[in-house]
Amino acid sequence: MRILIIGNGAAGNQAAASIRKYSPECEILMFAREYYSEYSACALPDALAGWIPINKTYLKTLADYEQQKIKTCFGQEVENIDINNQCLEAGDKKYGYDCLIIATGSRPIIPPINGSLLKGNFVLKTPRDIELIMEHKPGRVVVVGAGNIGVETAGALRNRGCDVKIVEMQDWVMPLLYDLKSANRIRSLLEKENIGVFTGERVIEVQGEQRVERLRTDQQDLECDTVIWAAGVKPNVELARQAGLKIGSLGGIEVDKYMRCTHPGVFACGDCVQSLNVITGKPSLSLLWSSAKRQADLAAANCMGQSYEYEGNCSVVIEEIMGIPCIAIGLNLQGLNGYEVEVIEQESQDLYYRLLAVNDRIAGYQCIGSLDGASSIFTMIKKGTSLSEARRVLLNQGLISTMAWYIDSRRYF
Amino acid sequence: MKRIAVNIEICDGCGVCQLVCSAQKAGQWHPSFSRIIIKRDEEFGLNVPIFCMHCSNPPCETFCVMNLIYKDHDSDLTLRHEDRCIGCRACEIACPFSAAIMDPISEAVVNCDLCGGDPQCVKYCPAGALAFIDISEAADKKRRQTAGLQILEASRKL
Repeated sequence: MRILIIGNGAAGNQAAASIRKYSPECEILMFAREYYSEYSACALPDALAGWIPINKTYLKTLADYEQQKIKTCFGQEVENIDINNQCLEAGDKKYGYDCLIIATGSRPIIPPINGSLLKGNFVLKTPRDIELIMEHKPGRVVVVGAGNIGVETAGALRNRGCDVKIVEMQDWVMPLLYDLKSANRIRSLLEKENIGVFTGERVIEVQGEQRVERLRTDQQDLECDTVIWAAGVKPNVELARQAGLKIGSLGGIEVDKYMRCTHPGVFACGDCVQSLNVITGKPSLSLLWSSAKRQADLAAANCMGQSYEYEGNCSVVIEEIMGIPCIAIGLNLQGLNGYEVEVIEQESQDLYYRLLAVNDRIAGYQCIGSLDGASSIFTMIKKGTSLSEARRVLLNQGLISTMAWYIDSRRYF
Repeated sequence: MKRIAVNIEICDGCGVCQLVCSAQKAGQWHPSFSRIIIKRDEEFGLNVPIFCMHCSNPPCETFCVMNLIYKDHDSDLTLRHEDRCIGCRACEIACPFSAAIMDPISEAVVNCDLCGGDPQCVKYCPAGALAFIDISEAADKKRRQTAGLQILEASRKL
């Protein structure tokens, strides 16, 4: 059996590792555009901040691929997939397959505006980007986008002693994860760290002669020598589209719950797919490490003849800002748009949390100041536990003694 | 395959297991360094020791952004290359049993590894609430059955 994997990220490598669990012998070929061995995208801000060395972000060496008996075709762009004849073309050669796993990932969005190609514009997606940013010697930095990557990048460069500002188009920071009230807490943490936060501002252009000199928004000009684009990522689906696979409404490759594409023998997983949200059951993109690995694990198992279903995406993002842990699980009010949402919230000087529920079902959780009980709430959200069921367990001595891990979450109910 | 089993009827929450574990694993005499945690419920006066369950398909493994958690082939334990941990705490949230612990000195998240087959918490538990037994043993089975029955009963009432 011959399995081809396109992509060398979290999903591609997890797929390869999971295939090996089922078959130590089958042939695995991995294609990637770049020469990097697998690295952890989530560790990049830590490396940018200087907390860990850059080489620690690499998770594998080339020898590891050999040990896992993965044939690597790195530096080879896959030009074409012929799904009818079960083969793909890369570097003038044709490779036939029994199973194809597409894990092409995503790329950062840089809007096509004036000056976005000037020297001094960066993204943070690979370890090479860190080297490029550090070689540029950033002094005054504007980070465009206040998502989790933007916030982490800003904190990292602040740690390097840069003057950092964040510009966000929407009205509050981390708008896809937090609601206004919790986001304001995060905002004040960032401001305490001397990071300038400007929300509700749209970037018009980047100005400069040879290199970046300032960034113009619809409200002001920000002097800077470095612009970091953290305005979101976009699934890489061009290859799949060209091959005739169906692309979903949100721009990811459409897969069923077995991670199968719309053509037999072809699976997809990771950032490039569009799957269902575990809470609403609606299509969603989940551009998270954990979802990529989970999907890849299932895609690999299913391509080896199993039939495991994917339960759906559930986002979890943990940040530490100024030493304060912040966590967002599930959906926020924006993500639950159209539903009647019950909000349970509590505020003190050091802690803010809110629990969102739809039809009694726990759908989202945001907390600034503590991670206690968050793991039980994450489990509840994934399992679709209702508020009343959680309360009943927490108030019953017999039940709680057999599920003692729920004790920490009692204060939220 | 031997695992730690708890008799919560006997556990009085003295915390010796936590101290022994912290001394053994972190060289500290402090419960917050322990891989075994006693969940205390003041409302019902409950003390329940919690530790890594060594799941067969561990969610912490999936969530680890450094791919450093693995299932040991021989012992079937969930182990970690702790030196590579960046302390992001994703596995802590992923663990449904809240059994992954942030070690504040090494800044790495850790879990119980059964002390390589000789768990010190079991050895020093003064009440005898902890036992290191084969998971097929009847006592453990009974414990699981009781737990299972209670959950069943709970779900029927829904």
